[in-house]
Amino acid sequence: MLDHSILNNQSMQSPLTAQSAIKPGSGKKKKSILMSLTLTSLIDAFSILVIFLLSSSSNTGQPLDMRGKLQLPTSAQSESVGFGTVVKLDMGHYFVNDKEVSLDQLTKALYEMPTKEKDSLIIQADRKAGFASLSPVILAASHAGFEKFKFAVLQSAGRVQ
Amino acid sequence: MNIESGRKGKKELNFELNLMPVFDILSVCICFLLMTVVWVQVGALKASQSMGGQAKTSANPPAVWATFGTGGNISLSLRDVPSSERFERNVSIPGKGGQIDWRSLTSIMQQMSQAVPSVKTALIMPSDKIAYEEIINLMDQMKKFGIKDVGISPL
Repeated sequence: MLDHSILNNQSMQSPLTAQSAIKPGSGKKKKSILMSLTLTSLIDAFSILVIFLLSSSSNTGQPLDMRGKLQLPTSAQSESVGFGTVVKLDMGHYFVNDKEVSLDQLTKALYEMPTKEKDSLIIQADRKAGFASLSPVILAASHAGFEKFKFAVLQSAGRVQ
Repeated sequence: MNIESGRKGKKELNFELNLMPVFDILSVCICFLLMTVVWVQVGALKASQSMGGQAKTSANPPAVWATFGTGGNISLSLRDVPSSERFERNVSIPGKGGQIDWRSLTSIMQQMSQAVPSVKTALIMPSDKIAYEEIINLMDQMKKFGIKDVGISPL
């Protein structure tokens, strides 16, 4: 089997073999140190890994920026995020699709969003944020014509303590 | 695995597949997927907000209004519930040590969902100092007991 293998052919032209031609042995037939690696099982494992990673990455919705100190609350009854306009509330600063806007400009920024993006609003806020800072977002989005509101959470299996 | 043909002089039909390119492609795929995979699963709780100016088409559906009070108190109020479904219309859940008593709330929500199954709508009325996490926890509880349409009243 080894005589016909690709590995064997490659090794005949390899630097190791060339070196042995320069320094030939004592005339005795040397025992071959070549061995055929069985890659089939490795490829099987790799294929399973690829399928797992593909399936775990195919259920994503709107990508949310999770950088910084912002911590989302957890929820067991959450659904997929889907797509829509993202309003992020971080340390008192408001961001509409990663663009910072002042509270006064929030309604205008949401109102000027394209119609196709007005389907749903994804609110991303820190779990310790007070409702006083969250309420203007709901009001502004309602005035701007948003109908569906989604509150970004971390999916969890457990429940409140 | 080679299978000997048994006849001399015949061209060898068996050959070994070169798996190295497959191996390379899979390695690149794994590296790429590992770098781009989302490890933190972010979900969303949907809220149904009513908008001003909408025409009233039908009668109000049976609903529960949840009001956050001070010191972790929560009041649950049933609205437009059929008289055939008997449950206390106004329930107050006092806080425990200034925090919301989630255990009592869960128990009452469970009793309510059994006694008043027609309630599928809820309106949450938070106070200005209530944390976003508490609102999400309450929404989570409501959805757990079959209340699908949950709205939040702004200040």
